[in-house]
Amino acid sequence: MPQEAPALLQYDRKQAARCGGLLAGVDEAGRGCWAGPVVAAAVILPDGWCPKGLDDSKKLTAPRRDALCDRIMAEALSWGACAVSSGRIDRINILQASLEAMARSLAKLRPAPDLVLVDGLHVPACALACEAVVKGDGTSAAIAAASIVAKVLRDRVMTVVDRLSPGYGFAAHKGYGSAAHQDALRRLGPCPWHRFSYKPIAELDQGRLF
Amino acid sequence: MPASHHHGRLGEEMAALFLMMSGLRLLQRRFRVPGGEIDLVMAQGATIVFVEVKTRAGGRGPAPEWRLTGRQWAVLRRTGLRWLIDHGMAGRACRFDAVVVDMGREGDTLRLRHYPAAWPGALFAKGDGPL
Repeated sequence: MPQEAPALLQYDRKQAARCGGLLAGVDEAGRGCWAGPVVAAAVILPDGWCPKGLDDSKKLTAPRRDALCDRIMAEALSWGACAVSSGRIDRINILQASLEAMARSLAKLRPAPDLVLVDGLHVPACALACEAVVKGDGTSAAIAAASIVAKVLRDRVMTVVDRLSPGYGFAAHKGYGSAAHQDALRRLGPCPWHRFSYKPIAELDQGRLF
Repeated sequence: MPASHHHGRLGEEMAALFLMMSGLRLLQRRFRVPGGEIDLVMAQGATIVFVEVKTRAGGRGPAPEWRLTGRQWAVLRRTGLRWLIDHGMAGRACRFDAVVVDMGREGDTLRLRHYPAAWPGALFAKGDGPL
């Protein structure tokens, strides 16, 4: 229903016309989390594709987001996703890790897009023409779609992380610093999925060691 | 739990993670019936994907691919059919994939390989044989 979300679509059409070809959106999920990977997704949407709910992805319920994600995967011209582990986040820092995840998601797109709209302030290092769009998931349909895919995939991944490191409640809070997560950290200490470069985890780890 | 068992479970979880990142949804782990087991039951769109996971820890011995045999196909097919019937999906499009998880000796390297539609195929003669 293109009439219902004209703003996002109009923006994408304008950008696509400007680059004269295929437009991709890329976004990441899980930057603020204390545990688990950062996940990025890149999407190329068919022209005029903008289902209901895409315009306010932040307000969607989890099941609706999940359903929309499956639709995007089935109907997108191309999509790609990539996760970068907490270990690598600790080594190269979270910004570099999310840019790396974005670059690797973009590399999975076939055909390669002519212009990439990146959510946020920074663009990944890749051969494609990239442009940063602040608050991109509320501006561009392609970025909104990418943000849904990244979020859903990360949530799914965290359910597996929850099984591998039970007790922290990763399936519920997905690694974000909720009260339940803080409580579990105090009781159990950090696990290998935690990001030790993050202050709350680093402080906790030191408290345990010394 | 013996170490090999633990590695097997870990391998299955890593395979699930890996396939999720390609857009598959996890429906069930370790579907068991008498005489058969399927490690992961997943879905890609409307297609049901039955996944056999082979894990090797320590990096020694033959590649895990050598354990994907023709004999297994008979068991997988039977078990997969059982799953479809149990879930009221008989006749639904399905696929049998294999994922090989190779964990390094120190647990520091991890290599995953996905073989979509590894079964069935003319590749499989009767009895045992590698892919």
